[in-house]
Amino acid sequence: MKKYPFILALTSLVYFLSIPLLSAGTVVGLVQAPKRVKKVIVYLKREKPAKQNEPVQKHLVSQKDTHFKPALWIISEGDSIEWANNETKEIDHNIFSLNALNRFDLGLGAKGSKLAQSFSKSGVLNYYCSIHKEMEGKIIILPSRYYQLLDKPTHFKIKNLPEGKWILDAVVLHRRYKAVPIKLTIGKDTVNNLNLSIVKR
Amino acid sequence: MKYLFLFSVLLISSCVNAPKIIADKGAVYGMISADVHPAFKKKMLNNSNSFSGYSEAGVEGGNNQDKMIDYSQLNELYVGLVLPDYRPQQHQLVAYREKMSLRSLALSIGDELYIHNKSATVQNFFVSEIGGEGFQSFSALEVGQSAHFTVKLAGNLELLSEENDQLKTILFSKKNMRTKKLSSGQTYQFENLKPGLYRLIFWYWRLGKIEQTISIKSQENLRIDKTLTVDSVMRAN
Repeated sequence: MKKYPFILALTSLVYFLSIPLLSAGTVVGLVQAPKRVKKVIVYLKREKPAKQNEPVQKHLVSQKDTHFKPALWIISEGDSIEWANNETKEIDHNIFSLNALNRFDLGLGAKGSKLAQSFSKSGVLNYYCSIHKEMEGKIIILPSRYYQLLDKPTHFKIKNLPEGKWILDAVVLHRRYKAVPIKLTIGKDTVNNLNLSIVKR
Repeated sequence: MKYLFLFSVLLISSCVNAPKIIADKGAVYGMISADVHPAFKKKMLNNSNSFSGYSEAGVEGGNNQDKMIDYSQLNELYVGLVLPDYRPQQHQLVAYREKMSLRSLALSIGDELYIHNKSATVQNFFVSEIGGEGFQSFSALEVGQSAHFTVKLAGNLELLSEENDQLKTILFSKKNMRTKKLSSGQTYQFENLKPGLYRLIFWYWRLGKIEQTISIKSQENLRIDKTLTVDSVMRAN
């Protein structure tokens, strides 16, 4: 008999915890693209940009064997990247970008050091080390946290979207092509059978 | 050793020839170079005076030298001058199987790219604005053929191939900009200029550009030397 209050409390807890999940939507679809298109990042952004409530994230990029690893990294607006100098020898690195999106020069980082930079505007940014010729990296800053990286055009599924009006779009790494954005209204149900077309510019 | 280096720099610097003086005209001339980050340079100099992992030449121990940028050997530094009476230039590029003949090119809107296709396949080149929506496509270029293409975009651009992502040249384009391609430490000159204000631009694809307004006076040679570093470019922009 004593067990019932406990079960009741547990059931209520599960119910209340599941409410946010039930109110979150999902989009499912297919990226249709010409054969030459490889990597695509499918993402959703709010139709009317709103202040993000989600906490910002810190991402880690390694500097090893005089390369940035990984050389391509995807983050969201407001996030930061920390570059760790993980060289085994005494090798210094510099990290800089003169891209209009976000200009920065993090100075010199010795072996074992960590240098960080945050990114507030969405876009694509190249950065370099001014000492080593092979050290080039690319950051893709997305306007939201709702995305999926596809190594080739295929099916996608993006979950946990808050209700509201959204735009489905994609960053296409082959610059000859671009996505045709789709306007969507996200509710509690899954939005199925979306076809995101990648076309020539 | 470092005094010998400084002496060499001073000697080379003093050898920059000024343009010939022309009546009612002026000129601008000087030397362009690029250098590593000042913080690294400072550390190299400090370490050259003590025993450490850095050699006297200021590079990291042995097998890392080939991974470092040798700024004294850079051969794609550009100086540009915006001219009111600009006539379009032609720039030659060759597409090989795995790379373009130039990694970078500074040019003006309206300039012609003369591309020769020495790769093994047909190439469809296009120009795309870096960080923007600007876009221009060129007609297909058959193997072994050459063609002229006119650049109609300004800003930071990339010439890319639809078929081969290794064929890439970074472009910097500005209206009415006459450009000269130089190696680090080489001299440039723009002569026979009418007195007035001009925009002078120094550019290296990896570091970006430094732009400044200069005043050309009659029968005067204006000397402007520039060293592009992360630091100097950052401060100028």
